[in-house]
Amino acid sequence: MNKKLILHVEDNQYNRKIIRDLLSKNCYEVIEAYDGEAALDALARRRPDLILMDVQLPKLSGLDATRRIRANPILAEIPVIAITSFALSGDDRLAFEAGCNAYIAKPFSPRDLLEMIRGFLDS
Amino acid sequence: MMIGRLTRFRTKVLLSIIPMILTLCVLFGGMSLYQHNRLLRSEFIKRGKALASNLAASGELGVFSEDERLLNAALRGITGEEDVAYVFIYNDVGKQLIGGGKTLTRPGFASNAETSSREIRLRMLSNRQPVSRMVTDAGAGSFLEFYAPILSTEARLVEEQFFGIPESAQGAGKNRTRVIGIAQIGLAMHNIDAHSAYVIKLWAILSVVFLAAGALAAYALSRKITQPITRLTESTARMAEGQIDQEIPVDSRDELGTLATTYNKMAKALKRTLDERARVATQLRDLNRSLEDRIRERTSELEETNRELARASRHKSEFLANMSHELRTPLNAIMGFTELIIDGVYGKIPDEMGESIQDIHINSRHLLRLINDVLDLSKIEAGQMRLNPSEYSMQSLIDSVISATRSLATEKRLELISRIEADLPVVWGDSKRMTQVLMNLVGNAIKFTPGSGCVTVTARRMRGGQSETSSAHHGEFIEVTVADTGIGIPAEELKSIFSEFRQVDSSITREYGGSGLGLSIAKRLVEMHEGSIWAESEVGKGSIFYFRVPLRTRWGESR
Repeated sequence: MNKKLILHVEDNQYNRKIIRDLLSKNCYEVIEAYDGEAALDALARRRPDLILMDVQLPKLSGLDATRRIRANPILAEIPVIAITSFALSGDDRLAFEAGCNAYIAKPFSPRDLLEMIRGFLDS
Repeated sequence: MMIGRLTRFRTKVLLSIIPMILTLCVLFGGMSLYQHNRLLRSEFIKRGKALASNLAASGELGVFSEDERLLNAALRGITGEEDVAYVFIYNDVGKQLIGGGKTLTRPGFASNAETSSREIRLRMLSNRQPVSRMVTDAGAGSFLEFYAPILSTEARLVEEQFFGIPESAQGAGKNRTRVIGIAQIGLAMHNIDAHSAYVIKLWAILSVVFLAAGALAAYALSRKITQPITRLTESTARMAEGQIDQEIPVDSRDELGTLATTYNKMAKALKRTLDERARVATQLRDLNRSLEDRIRERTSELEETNRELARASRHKSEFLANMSHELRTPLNAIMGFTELIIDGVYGKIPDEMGESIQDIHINSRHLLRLINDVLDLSKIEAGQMRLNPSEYSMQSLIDSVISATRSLATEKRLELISRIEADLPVVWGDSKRMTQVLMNLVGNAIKFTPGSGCVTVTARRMRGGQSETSSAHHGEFIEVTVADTGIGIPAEELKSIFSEFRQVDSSITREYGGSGLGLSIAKRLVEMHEGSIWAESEVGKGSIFYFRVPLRTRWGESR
């Protein structure tokens, strides 16, 4: 059976490891990008089934990267889940406006995130 | 107009002084003229009588002898006199023995001696003294005629000639003398008349001179009076036109001089007053200007301070955002790894580690709540809390809170009930924040209610005007209550439970956990929605927390 490919964009190594451990254990293939630009580079090589996008990133921000992705016809249909540590009112609105499909605030529960990912990929 | 009136004043002075001078001249001149004439006339008469007596005396012999030569000799000494117009000598029966004098040669002269001789003779004979009378001749003018008796006496001839006869001697000698003739002398009056005319002329000239001098004096006097008044008037007029700096010359020490001095003093005082006023006005203007400057300075200072405050506030806000990020990122890792361990991602957990890992999980969740509360309160106090309003259903909000806390209630074997009025209208507000409020109230209720208790959430629609708080909203609102059967709150603590870092007892913090900020944040959030929150409680029986939010807020309506 073909493993679903998930691109995780995140600058914090520990948070990358959590997602990596969680998703590997649950039979997903994970590729990682350190920031928005690296994410676009990675997308040029492989097309993932879902993108987990941290909003606060060095260089290109998560929301800007999402806008680029949405502007690209090949990538436009990939679901993007935004992960933010701000949890402020209005962050969700900004995320949706940039083209994200879902939103989860840090600190998130890996269980909740897994459930959200499954909602997008297993339907 | 003022000057015209003053001119009239001068005329008035002249008009009142000139008649006075005139009257004085006439009275004085007339009187002296009259006296002068009388004196002149009496002298004239005296002289005439003396001449007549002389003639009578010198003519005695001639009359007596009727010798023309003697008579001529007697006449000669008299006709030479300048004013003697004519001379006649008559004998005792009135016959004209001789005549002479300048006037006789004039044509038209008619002596009326004849007609009056009888009457004259009678008078003379009665007192033997010379007499006089006025004669006016139509052709030759006026004359004063003198008659003297020519007496004959041998014994007293010498005495008779000198009129020096004593009274007693005269009486004694009366019988010894007799009148033998009459001497007549006519003195021409034209000399006297000419003299009178001269005097009158002199008087007239003097009168004119006096009049002119008087008028001049009056003019000068009135001018002396009116000139300072005119000056004063003109100066006053100038002052009225605004030339305050007036000084008029003081050239006398009389009332007008005093007036001028007083006027100058007044003008000086007025000028001082006006100068002072101008100075004060200038000062006031300067003061105003400096005040404006200061206000501008202060305003710019305030603006600068405001900018600094805004900058500080922005910095604080940025700091909060950063803190939020920085705190959550490691916490996310802690909580994430803990959950992965608990979920067995890294394999089965040894039994002796299980409880400790659960403790890590519980404490990290607690830490997250504390961080969230502190950040929320900081944001509210910094004015950085932005509401994200929309229309929401209170019914579904309460439902979501109930379902989120149900497991917690079930764990403590509590009954969790909701009684929501049917057909509640939608509310305008930040549903996330209202969820936070209700979550806090329900969470507290569950926390402070011992097992087998009951937590009840109600919601109902209410009309305005019965709000128990100072909240100013009118119209409709929704009241939500959270009632528990918990430990209750003492009355003296009830008021302060919405203050920061307050729990009824610090021991409670240890026993029940919580930051002590939850109610404070709830109160702020409700107030940001123009609502109100309060509590009622009875120790040992339980508490009821109320909050009301209007269906429409003012800021909501403006959106």
